[in-house]
Amino acid sequence: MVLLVTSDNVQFQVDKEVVERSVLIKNMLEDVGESDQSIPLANVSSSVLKKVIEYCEHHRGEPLPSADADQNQDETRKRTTDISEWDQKFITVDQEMLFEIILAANYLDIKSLLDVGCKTVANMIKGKTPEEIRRLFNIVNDFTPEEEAQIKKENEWAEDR
Amino acid sequence: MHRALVVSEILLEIFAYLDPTRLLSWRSKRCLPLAALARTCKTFHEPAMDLLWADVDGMEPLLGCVPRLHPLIYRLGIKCCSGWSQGVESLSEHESRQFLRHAARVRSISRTYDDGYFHLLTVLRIETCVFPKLRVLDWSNSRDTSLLHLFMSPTLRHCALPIFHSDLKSIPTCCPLLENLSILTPAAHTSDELSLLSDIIRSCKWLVELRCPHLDFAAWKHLSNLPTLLTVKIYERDIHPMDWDHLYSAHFFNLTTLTFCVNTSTDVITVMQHSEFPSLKEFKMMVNELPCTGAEQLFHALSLCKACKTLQRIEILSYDEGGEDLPWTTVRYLFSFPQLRTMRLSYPIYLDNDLLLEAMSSWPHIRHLELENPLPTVTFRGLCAALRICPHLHTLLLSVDAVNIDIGSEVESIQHTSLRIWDVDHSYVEDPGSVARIIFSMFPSIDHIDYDSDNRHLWHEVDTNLDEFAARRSLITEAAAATT
Repeated sequence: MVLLVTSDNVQFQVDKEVVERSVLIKNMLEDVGESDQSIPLANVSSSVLKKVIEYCEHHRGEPLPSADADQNQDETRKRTTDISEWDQKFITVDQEMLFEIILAANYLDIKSLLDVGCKTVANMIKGKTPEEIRRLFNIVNDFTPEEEAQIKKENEWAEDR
Repeated sequence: MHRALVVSEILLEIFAYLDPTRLLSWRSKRCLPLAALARTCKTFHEPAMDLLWADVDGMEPLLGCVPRLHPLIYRLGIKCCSGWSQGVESLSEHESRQFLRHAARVRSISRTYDDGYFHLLTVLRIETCVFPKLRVLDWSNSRDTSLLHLFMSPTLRHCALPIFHSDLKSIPTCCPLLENLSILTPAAHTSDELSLLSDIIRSCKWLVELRCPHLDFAAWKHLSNLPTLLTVKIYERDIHPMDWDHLYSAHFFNLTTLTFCVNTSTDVITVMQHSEFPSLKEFKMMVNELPCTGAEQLFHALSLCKACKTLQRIEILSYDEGGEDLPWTTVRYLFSFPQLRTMRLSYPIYLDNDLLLEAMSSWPHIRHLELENPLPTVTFRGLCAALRICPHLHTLLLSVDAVNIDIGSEVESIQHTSLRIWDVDHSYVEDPGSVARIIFSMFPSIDHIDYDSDNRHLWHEVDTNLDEFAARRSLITEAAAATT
């Protein structure tokens, strides 16, 4: 078992096999060797880590993408925005939690979880206008109307492609 | 905005799922999501533009960034296909900078049919590297190679050209990382052109895939020692006898696919006789003239090179109408490939029950077999004995003697369940009912027969019988399921 300590100081005892889906933690464990020392996760809160552990538990035993996985494998992975049924249910959370999971997956280096989160956001963006995207993610438009018109003009080819 | 959306690596991950070049569906080719993201906010702008402009069709998108040209290119909001540049003055210095605004983002460009706008770019200096990140150049639709130098980026990996001329000599120097070169000229080649091609090929050090016309001995020699080379496709219209050094043995250590589209087999035989190909998996040849002696030499050469242990696919398609049937001694050379999965031989051969059995014993992994045996001397009994050795066979093109039926009630005990497609070519049939019953019993996965026969109405009757038998079988299965 591995002891993880979150940013809000909550402790989680997790199976080594489960927690090693995180490349960051796997490398840490390899560096410290056999030890009872806890692993502090300063960038992850307890509510987010709970979700991350739930994901890793569910995918326990599945093959991990190798560090030197070739580019083709990566390209194939990116060809689809389909998400499996369980993952879809898992990632049906509020927007704040969705982005926190993405941040945690990026920090902990859990490629498959990062994919699920990013695909979900990509699916939310599809078919939306810039204004709708701004409203969806609470983004301030920092372009002047002239700048925006100029960009639209330059990218006109892409819109009737 | 959530702080996750300002982390550039996360943004790139999200945007990559909206990149049309990475989506399978052609309908999703429209780049609307990326174009929308580029206008959403300044944080999204750069990563979205990088992906959006990575893959462009022709130069119009770049020329459209010049305000003077924009209304000409996008008349009524729709991109014009051709003719818009006629009579238009070339770019000024200032306009050329506008043209180059997004060129540094382009990684893949294909030239459209319209070459008319190249005169607009004469202001660009010859040493200008317009596309510093270009990896893929597809010029195959265009005949105009002027200003080709603008595309010769040091990062270029894939290059498809319609023609070769002296300008191309600089490709290996300007693009030292070139991996995939296709020269698709349909014209006849002069010896000067061929010598130039040889020079170009010999200067490419990292080729993985090559598609080009005829090569001379020096070019073959260079290619044979390239460890990166996996695929070669040669096509030629005219005959250029190759002066091969008889002492030289070419290795081609890692080559897996070799294709020839040629008029005659002479050079192909020379290459095969002098090469080892220890990793070759696919050999394909489309040839206009293949005399019996040529076929014999070719099959013999194939059987002697190291590739005979690795070849999984052989396709030899001869368009020579007047060829004689190959004698069995020559056919036997083809039995030297134990790993064969696909054999397509469009060349008349003599085949009987014994030879077919011998062939199938030599190809235990065969899945796709097409043989042209104009004299249908293989019988149902012979076919049954031969196919029993090849449980994976899925597709078959072979004539059989469907007139003299030599199999009786024992057919019930013989089943080959993998065979799904059978083209009986020119086979004759007299009793469609009996033949259908045999086929239905022997090959339960076949639902119809393909044929190219003079008595097609009788084979059509075989198919009708097969339909009836299949319908009856499903009724029986359904009834049995209902009882249980």
